[in-house]
Amino acid sequence: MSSDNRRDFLVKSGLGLGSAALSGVIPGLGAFSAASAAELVDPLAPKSPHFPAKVKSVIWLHQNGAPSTLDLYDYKPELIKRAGQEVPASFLKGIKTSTQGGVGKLFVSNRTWKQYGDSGAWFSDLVPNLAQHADKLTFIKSSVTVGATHDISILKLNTGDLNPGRPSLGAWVTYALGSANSDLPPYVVLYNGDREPQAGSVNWSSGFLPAVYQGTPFRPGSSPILYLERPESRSAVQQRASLDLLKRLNGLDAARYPNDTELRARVQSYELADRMQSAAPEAVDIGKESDATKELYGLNDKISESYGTVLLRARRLVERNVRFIQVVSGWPEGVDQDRQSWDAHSDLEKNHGVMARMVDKPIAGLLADLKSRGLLESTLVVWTSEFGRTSYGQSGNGRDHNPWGYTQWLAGGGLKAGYTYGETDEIGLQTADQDKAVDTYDLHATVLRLLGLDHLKTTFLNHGRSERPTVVYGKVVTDILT
Amino acid sequence: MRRILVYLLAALAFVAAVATAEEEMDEDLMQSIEDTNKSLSSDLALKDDKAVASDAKDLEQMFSKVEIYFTHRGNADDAVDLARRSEQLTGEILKSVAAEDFDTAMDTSTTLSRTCKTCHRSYKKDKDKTKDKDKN
Repeated sequence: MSSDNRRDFLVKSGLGLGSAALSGVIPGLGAFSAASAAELVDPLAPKSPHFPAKVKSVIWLHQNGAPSTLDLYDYKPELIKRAGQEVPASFLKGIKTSTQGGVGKLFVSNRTWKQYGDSGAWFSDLVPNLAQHADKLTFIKSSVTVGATHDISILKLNTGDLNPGRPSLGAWVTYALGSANSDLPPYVVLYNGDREPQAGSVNWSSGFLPAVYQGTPFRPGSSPILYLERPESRSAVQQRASLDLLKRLNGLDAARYPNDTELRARVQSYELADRMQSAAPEAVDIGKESDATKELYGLNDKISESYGTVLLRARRLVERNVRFIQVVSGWPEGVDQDRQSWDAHSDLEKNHGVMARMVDKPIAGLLADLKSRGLLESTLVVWTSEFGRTSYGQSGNGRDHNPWGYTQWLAGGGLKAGYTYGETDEIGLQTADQDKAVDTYDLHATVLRLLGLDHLKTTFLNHGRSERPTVVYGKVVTDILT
Repeated sequence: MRRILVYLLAALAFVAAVATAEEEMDEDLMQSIEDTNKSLSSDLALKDDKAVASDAKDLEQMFSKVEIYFTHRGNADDAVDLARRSEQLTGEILKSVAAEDFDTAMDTSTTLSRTCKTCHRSYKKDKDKTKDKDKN
């Protein structure tokens, strides 16, 4: 008897004996067939969208810490004119401020502004490379949200709720569309810096969706996934045999506990991990990228190197049909500063000087690279943040959090490129027209639409209640769509 | 005489407490509206017309209380309008469901949720205390 047949015999006879024993002890279990392992329905099998998708992948560029878009994209001559003055009461109407030390005087940093492209979009001197892509971008300059602490607002940005427990947007996308590449996780989280994003894994959680839909973080550095490599003492054949047995044993348990999504996720993860051993290192290995490409992403500048590496990996993941790539901005290595994010409550000039230099060339490079490879039309790139920053100053040379009016942008398929939706008031504090306010739910609804999904019909039954990504809100911003 | 004074002071304190309570919106009512709205959204997704009718009727009554509150409070015409609009939208949801048009009803319910948010922007007590916001 060959070793395979012997193994097969032992497994089947063991299972058969076990089944016979159990069915004698536990009523109703006689119907359970333990001799054949339950074939699991693949929760990551590709699923059709509700209507034809405009894009296949999303690169979600979360600018952690909340940049001041008043110093990047939202040119406000009135703010510049009134710099140093108290905020007129009319501009504070309808909002509740809670700035430590009180509302400061109107503040401007040392910016020069120019218009670019046929769209004439305004960019400051902080983003000269992104400015070259003015006509690719679709601005939403009437973004609003809830202005709580960073952790809470980041949670709302990613999951739609102020409390943990809901799935992230990436998890919903994975749930609704499945995976387009069985060798890689469909939902990947990337970040630069020396630690995982401070706001935590609740921001890529599957929430009440089955655990298999959660995001998989890839670490910076040459080994993005812990324990991915097979130990030298074990051959590929041995590993495969172990996994086959494990799959059969897990299959038995899965059939007994059909509602245990964590078990299903674990089973899937073993199989995926096996496939990822070859697929994942290759996907994130930028060693074979040309010098020209590396320079395009800013890898030759210490400030932009880490973020550029992350975005180059993101492009490679898009090429391999990863559905949702959530990129969280970190901080460049070797730069010493109190606030290691965009969160410039003070010293905005220095902080944004570093942060803008970290992201400007890499994001511009990403857009150029996607375009040249014919991928931009099937990809959605989103610049997003948990809120913006106030036009009034804080600590003399910084800005406080601003949930009442700020800028985000999108680029890629299905969008009116070179278009701006909405605006802030003359000093850039609040959305000028509340009817054009775009909340996080609306952004989510719009992203889902571009993926071919109706947010109202992307539902999951959670303990008898039908849930959707946009909670009870969400309106697609149709004006920005082609 | 002393006892009369004590009773008088107690009565005044009670009246003041009631007056103070009336200055603020009933948080329990607001929570009930939020919970019922979420339930309504689920009912619509599941196309459960009976459950929709029940939740929508509850919401109509609750929005009516909100309207009364803001009318009495005064200096809140926009809130009164928003409460009336919410009652109107709830009525529209009922009509759509009666006509078995759940898609329109769902759209209307999303508009209803946004109407709630509009009112909250000006009138919801700010719980986002930001004493430690810089520390996340």
